[in-house]
Amino acid sequence: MSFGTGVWSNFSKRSTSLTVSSNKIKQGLLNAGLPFGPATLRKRSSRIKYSSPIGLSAVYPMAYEILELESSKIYETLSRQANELSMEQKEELLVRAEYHNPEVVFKSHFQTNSLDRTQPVYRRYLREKWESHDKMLLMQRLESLHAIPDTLPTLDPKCDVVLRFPHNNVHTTVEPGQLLSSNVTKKPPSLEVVEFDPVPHDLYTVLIVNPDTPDLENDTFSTTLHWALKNVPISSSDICIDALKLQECPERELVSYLPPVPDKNAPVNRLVVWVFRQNQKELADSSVTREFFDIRGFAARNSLTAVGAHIWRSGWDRNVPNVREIYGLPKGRVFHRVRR
Amino acid sequence: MFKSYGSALPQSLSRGLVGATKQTPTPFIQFVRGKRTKKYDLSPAAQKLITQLSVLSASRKQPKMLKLCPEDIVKHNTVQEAYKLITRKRKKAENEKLKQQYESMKLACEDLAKVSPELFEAANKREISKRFSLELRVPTNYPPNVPWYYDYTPESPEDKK
Repeated sequence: MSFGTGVWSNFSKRSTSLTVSSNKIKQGLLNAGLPFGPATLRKRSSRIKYSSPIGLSAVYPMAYEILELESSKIYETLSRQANELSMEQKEELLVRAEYHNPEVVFKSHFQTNSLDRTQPVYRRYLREKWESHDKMLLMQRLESLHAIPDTLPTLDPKCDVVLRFPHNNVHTTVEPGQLLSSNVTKKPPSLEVVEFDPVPHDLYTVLIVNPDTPDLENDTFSTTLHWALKNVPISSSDICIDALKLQECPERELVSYLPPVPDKNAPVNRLVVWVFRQNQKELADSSVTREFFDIRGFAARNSLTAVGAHIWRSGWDRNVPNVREIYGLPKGRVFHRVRR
Repeated sequence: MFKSYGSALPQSLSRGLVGATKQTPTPFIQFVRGKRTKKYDLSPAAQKLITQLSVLSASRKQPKMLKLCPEDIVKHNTVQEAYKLITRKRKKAENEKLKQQYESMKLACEDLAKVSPELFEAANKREISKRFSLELRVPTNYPPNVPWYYDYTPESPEDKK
């Protein structure tokens, strides 16, 4: 009925990322039937065999019109009350206006990797996806590995932290709590910090701490700082923290990357990545020590808010002496095996 | 497995083992997967038991799972959302109407109580053994075109004679 005439086809005030780029899929969504067949099905035989549910083509145009009308009313409200609404209210209205747009829904469910994070509706869909699985997984891993009381007291995660190690060209992400070899962790990781709140351009601090360094004098463990970055700018369009970002501004690196080099027969080391928001301020006291690092004190002194975390584990393997050699570290200790 | 020798007969929508028709002594045999074509000679008790077991299980009685392509999944969800939206609006409007009707009735009664307490009491007086008045009508979405006949006069006893 009203395909192509309503607010969802008008891109004068809306971003072009709110539409599907492939023409066949777009025509499949913006017509009663599927004019090019089911373009998302790969095999030709599947496409030939496929038939849409009975009655969908009769009722879908009506449904589209109803939802588009509702969306246009929301846009009108936004333009009328532009000055009276707060940023959160505007964000909420923008999300509601596009939440049921079939093209947006298609992109959010079937093209999640290429979503435009500057759009509130896509951020909402990304947040829902994160909250349905990855957030819970992260909290479970942090709690079961006791990273939470052992480093910072707790975490209220506000953003998704994606960890990758560029030791080879494979783009796999690290699952929280994964055991990684010393070969993988010998080079600094690359992080992606996906923010869901409409936070303005802000500065972030990243710390990687290891709470399992053996402290023989006191017969306990101490925390070592493996990597510290400050004043890293993150925005919706630019979420990556990697070597490239550090090259352009070397003073962002407070402490250079020290790879995890566990001692033989010592317990498996946990490496916890903490991502903090600096709340638009410079760090009050950026003095850090690698050994016996007090992360709680550091966070308190600089009034940092922890918004995201990640964790991996490193154990001794036969490549650890090589990594020590590469970094010019002294030879490692060999502990007596403890029978559990 | 569907299996046919040569062209199918026009009436061959029947499944199972098709025997010879009156017109032509046909050599065509059609097999269809899942159809009972073999006759088992069972005692009535055994057959009854089998039927009972069959009733308890859902095997072969379920409709086929609908497999939708991603576009149709999105379209289906769009239709569901639109329906939810209009139902919500309709229910909200109905609730609002009922609320307004109740409020206006309440206001009218309060006004009556203030203006004329005797009439108010008379209006609220309980008539013995009366539960529903003859004039009471069940609220309906489609009231008649002429809702009330104002010019009614009761029959006089002389007219009856």
